[in-house]
Amino acid sequence: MTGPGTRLVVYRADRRYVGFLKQLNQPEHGIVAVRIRPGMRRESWLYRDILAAVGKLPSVTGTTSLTELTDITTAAWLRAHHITQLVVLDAGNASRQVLAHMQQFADAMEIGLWICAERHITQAIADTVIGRQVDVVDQRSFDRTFALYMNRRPVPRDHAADYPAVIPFSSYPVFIEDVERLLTPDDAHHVRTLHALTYAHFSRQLAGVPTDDQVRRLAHEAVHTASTIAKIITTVRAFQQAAFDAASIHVSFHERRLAGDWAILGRHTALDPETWVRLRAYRQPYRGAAAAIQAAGIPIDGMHDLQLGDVGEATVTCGGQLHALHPGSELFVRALAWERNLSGAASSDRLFVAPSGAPYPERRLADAITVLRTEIGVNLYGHDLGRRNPTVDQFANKYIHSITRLRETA
Amino acid sequence: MTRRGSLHLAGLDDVGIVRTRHLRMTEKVLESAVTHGEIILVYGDPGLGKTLSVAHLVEAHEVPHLWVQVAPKPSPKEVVVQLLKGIEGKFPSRGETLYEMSDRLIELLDDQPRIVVLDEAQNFTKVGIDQLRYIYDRSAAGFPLVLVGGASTNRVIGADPQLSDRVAGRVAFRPLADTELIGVLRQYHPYLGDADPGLIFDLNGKWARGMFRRWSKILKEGRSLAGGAGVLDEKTARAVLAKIGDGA
Repeated sequence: MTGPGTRLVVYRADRRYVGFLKQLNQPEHGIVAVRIRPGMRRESWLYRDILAAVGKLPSVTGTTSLTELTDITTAAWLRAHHITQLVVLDAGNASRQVLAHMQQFADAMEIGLWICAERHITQAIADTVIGRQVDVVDQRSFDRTFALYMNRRPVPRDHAADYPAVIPFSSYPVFIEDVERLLTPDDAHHVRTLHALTYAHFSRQLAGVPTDDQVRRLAHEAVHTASTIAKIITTVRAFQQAAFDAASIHVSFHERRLAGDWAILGRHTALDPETWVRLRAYRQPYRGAAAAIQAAGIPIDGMHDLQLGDVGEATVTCGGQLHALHPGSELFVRALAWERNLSGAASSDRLFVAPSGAPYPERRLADAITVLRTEIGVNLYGHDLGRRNPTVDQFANKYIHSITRLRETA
Repeated sequence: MTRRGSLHLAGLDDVGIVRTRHLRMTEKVLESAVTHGEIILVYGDPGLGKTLSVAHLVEAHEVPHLWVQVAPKPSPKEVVVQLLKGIEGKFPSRGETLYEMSDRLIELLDDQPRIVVLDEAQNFTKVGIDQLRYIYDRSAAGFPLVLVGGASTNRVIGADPQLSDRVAGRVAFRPLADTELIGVLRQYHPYLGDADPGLIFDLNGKWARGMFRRWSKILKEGRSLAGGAGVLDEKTARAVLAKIGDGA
């Protein structure tokens, strides 16, 4: 019952059943469920909701006009996410035009379309399904079909992208207190967890009487592994607290310089799963694809000349050399390739071309990467691929203000 | 935005809240609504204490509340705008579409648990109800939603089976029964509670008809006319009826 084709379901929903319907959207299991908004007359609204269902945030658009978003972009993302079932809830709210469009979309995609109406079939639904091969499914069978998916081992939710982008800059004795006071309980929980883990790790490392060199090395390690400004601040505060509690050492950092120079410090960004989860917020596939390909070591000019045929399942070939994409980043390149494919591009055609048919200029590809820092708090070091990480000494000279042993001064 | 103003009639600042049968029932269904994120309906004729009971309960509750007065026949956009204004304290910007406003509202409702009270819910029409149901259904955890309105509210909501199916609790406010009248008035204020029961039943039959708001008016006017006498007497009762009793 989960192959391509159209199914019609009429259901009744109390509060409990509404809860069941809310869990239907499971892109990781190939299911996308969207609810038709009251008065929905235009299919572009439904496309936005489908994209939101696979993680695209309507509020994150980059600098690109929304007019670039088409059924092709939506289809590309569904293909990239391996979606096989599209469940349309509250179908009674949809106009005839929207339903007919959905039917064509699902047929073209060769995915299952579930038209789900609460309590009764509207004239628009009847007009859409008349004369078509449609399976009428009762509510119990519908529940059974999707309960199978729900009862599968749940894919662990990726909490990586939940880390707050903005956190207090307060000094370490009051840092956690301010986090509790100023952030939402969920955000505070994420900060507290990272702080506690970092604190525990460095408390062990700093126990006893560490030398100044050891303190510098550990501070370098702490900052070097953090991937966002918020995480750097949290890590630094936890490190300072650990140094104070475990070794009675007060380590003072040039924090604002540290945050400002984060561009050259966050070298682990591409390896951090959070990076790629955050990038899913963008609806235009080229944005994530540009970031993924640059992180794989291909510069902007090389990226600009890539052809559709250069894209493999988890690799990209540039200048005869095979580049492996970072785990988690393949999704974006896959979505862009599908977008081009569905637009009718041949394997010898350029990869980075907008749905309108115009190639993306190099400048725009570079912007797509640099803007990530301000828009979603992800730094993929823009044009600075060639820059090296600072050594421990360089790091200490530039970012550590002082290391004071409190026992000695007491 | 919380409900503004005193719960009682002006000039009755020294009276307390009487825990009537209806208030206790409302408290019970409200607690369940808050725990499970349910929709409840509180309805009845004007003057029976629905708004006062709900306002008292949500103001005393530890979960913050949002109180919105439903305009007559609100459009889907008005429903969303009023809720957003209630949360943010200002109207949304002009350029924002209903699509964007709805998504923002759902995010805000998911971010912080709130008891949402929609007063005068009998004013809803089909399109407003559809929008309200959409917002409720989209909210990740569901939020406690209290629909308060006149006697026709149950019919208005019942006419939309989809929303009606989601209503987890209903409290119908009815006039105070004769058997509970004296007890309730004794808890309400000694000016009425210590009065001759025969006089009370007489007033109730002629004009008050078990409506709490009318007893509040009798208390207010009676004390004002009697110049501070401790208990309602027959002469004052007649004067009160002559002044506010619609010819009763």
